[in-house]
Amino acid sequence: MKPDATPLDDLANREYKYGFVTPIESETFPPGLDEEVVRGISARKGEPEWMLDWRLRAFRHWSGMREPRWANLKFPRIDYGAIIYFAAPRTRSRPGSLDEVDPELRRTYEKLGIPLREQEALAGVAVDAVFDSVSVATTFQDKLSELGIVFCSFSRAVREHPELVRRYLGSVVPPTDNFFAALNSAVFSDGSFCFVPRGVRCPMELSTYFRINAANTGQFERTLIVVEEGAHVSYLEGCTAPIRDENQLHAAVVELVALDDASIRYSTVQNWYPGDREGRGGIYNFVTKRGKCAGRRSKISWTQVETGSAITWKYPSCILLGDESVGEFHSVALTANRQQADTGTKMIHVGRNTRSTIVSKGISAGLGQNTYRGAVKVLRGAAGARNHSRCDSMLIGDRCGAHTFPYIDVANATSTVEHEASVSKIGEDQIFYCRQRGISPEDAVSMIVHGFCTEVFRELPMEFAVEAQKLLQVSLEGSVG
Amino acid sequence: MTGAAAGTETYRSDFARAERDVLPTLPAWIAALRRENWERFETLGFPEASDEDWRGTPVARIARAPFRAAGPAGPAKASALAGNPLADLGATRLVFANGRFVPSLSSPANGGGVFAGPLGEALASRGEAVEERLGRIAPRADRAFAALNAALADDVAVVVFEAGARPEAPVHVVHLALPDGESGATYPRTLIVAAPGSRASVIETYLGDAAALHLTCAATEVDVAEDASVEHARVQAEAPAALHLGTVDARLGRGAGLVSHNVSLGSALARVELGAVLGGEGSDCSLNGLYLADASRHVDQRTTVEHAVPRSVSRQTYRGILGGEARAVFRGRIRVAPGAQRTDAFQSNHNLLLSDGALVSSRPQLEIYADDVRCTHGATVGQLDADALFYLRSRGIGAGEARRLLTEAFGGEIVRRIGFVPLRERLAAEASARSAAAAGDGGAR
Repeated sequence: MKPDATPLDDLANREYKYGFVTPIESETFPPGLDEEVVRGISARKGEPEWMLDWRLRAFRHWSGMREPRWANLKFPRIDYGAIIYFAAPRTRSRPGSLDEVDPELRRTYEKLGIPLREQEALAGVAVDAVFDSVSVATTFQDKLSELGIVFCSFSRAVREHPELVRRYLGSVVPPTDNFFAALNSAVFSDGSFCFVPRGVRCPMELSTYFRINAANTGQFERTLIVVEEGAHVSYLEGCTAPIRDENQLHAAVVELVALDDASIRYSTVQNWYPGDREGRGGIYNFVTKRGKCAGRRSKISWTQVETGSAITWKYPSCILLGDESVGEFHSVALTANRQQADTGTKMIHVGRNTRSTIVSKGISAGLGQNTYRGAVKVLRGAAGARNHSRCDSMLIGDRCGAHTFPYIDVANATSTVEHEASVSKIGEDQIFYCRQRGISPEDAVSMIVHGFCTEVFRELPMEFAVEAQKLLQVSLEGSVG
Repeated sequence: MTGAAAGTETYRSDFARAERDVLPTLPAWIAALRRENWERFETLGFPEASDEDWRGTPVARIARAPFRAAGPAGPAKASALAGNPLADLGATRLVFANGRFVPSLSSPANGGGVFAGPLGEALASRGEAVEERLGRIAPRADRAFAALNAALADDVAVVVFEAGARPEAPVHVVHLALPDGESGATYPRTLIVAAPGSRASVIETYLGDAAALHLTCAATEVDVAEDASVEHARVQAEAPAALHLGTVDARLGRGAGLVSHNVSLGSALARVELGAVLGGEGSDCSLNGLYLADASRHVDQRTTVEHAVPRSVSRQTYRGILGGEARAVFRGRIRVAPGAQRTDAFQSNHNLLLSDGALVSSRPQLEIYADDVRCTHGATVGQLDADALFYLRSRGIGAGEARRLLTEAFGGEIVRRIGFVPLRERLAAEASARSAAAAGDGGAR
């Protein structure tokens, strides 16, 4: 491109918008992890005995595991002994109503554009706000409970709906599943729980907003969504963190369960702090997300827009157990500066006539390394299974990388699996055409990238689609020139 | 690791014997090369089932049996097998049995710009060309079986095309695996050198008829110098009791071209790793592959195309036909090195599953570190098109015949790319017979 694009440098240096720190006193555990810490977290949350046992089992298993290194990522060894495993803003007690939420916390969420006051809320979005290790507020609970929908923080669910939590917790991602899932199972602090009973269509979007604030802490939240026969829910997830020079670890687990004819739409806009241009700081995002289409004709659809984090290691998956169940995965992953992403999905076809679709759009700019890693597995009994995968990568700049590693395993002769992928440079002729028409280079890039990702954005709820577009724009600034 | 170490004992005694009897008779540089590779094999040991590179292929089947280097083959057996339609194509022919040159069945060439003969003669008349390349085209140090071959191969089929040579007929190298008794091993090795501006074709055929379990550990090196072009066909049709491991490593200079046909028909377990390094601007390679497996055969095909410099082109087309309880693994990688701008790379892998017992794992991979490139890959796994079957049946063609025709056509896409007519025709017949068998295994559905 043109060397005269110097104004872009200013744009490139623009701050990460959500990088502020809330000056709030917090209560933290000392760094390090042993059984006492696990017991401490459990006691702090007033958990029943079975929950503590579950955590301890996970912890003991984790102690014998090794951090996985197969991903196409380069990062220094993480010192698990230096991480603080629990941090909570110091408040008197859990607020009885939303008006009692600490004003400092409320200001934080206002600054992030997340309304905690229901009257100011975007029409039809209920929010569970998680700040460091605890959930600080959940909106619209009353309205939802009229329909029998449970939407609350995980800690509260353990207290108030132990039978549901016990039945489904770990049923999709067992506590021994992988290194990070085991770690999360031992020390998870909070998260969201959602239960939609038989036949209910959840009337509003449910949303969790995760915020890391305290320094040197890890964030380990857990989300569990159970949707009964014929019910439907659409769930959104957003995340931000302050600017710091140290890397912080985020290891979450998300479990989805869909029974007969149920459908779940799970959307993520991930915007953790990505680190600076030299690759200092940023979040290490190691997340296990998996959904189980347990019932016939059930459907789980994952949509993700990954623009943040220094490292993203994330494979939202679907286990298609029920006959005729459907799994979808739509993803936009952007790596700029020195960000690295190794992300994709797994579609495991178990039931007959199960279908899955994968659409992945990777964008690499600067020194970013972007890897799509996805598995499609058709088991012997999955007669008539069908998968189509498309992975496109766009490269902006000559020092970034784009990689595609699909794993296709088929053991049924009546199934059809198709995978296609392409990698190409952002169209110089397209940029030229736009510039000819008086469009600035950065707007041109933004338009082209947006066009490249449209297919995925279409899957997002409206408010999120707008935010996702803005995010891409900000993240790409400074990439041209 | 103890199991792996125990498994290497017979190989150690084979190497000790070579060290005593063979190495002293060889030029010092070859002896050093073989020692170096033996040490590498000892350091690496057998791959383990958990190695990413061996995922899906039961390496334990090789590690379990103590394979011992086979002695010279009986001449009667060798000449019987040399009459096989795939071994007798009417070309300049070199026959090796158990890795040893068989002069009575061969027609070596030395003249007219072409040399084709065993290592000893090659060292006498083309010493420099061999010394510069043997064991040096495949620098990857992490492959245990490639190192094992380099350590234990006593002879090498050497084919050299001089600068500007354009021979009409291809050179045909036939490797016969004829070990006596249980657990024999053969180490065939081939070196192909195409000097600048030459244009030639080489066919390698791997055949065998031993009924007992045996191992073929093969290696081929191909050096295509600038503006040279080579068509290389590799046909593996070994006995059903064979375990076949092979590597093909090619290096291409500026403006060089390589067309590779890699056909895998036989063996209980066959794994071929094919690597091409596009090391010169404007180089171009086409890798075509066909693998056919029925019963409980296992076939594993790996390709790695490395675009090391700007402006090179690669095309990979691999197809698999699987019936019975067969297993297939395909791993194809395109790697574009930093700075290798204007790379154009394409890869496709299509698999036809003819029975419910068969299993396919396909892993097409793109690893790209440059931006001004066009790289695509595609992979499919499916069955015969129901509409096409219906169409044929509505024209009065029986169900079995329709399946056979469609299966044959699927494989024919690869076979018909082969330039040398006698090979193409015989392979078409062979592939057709075998795909009929595979299609039959699926039964009528």
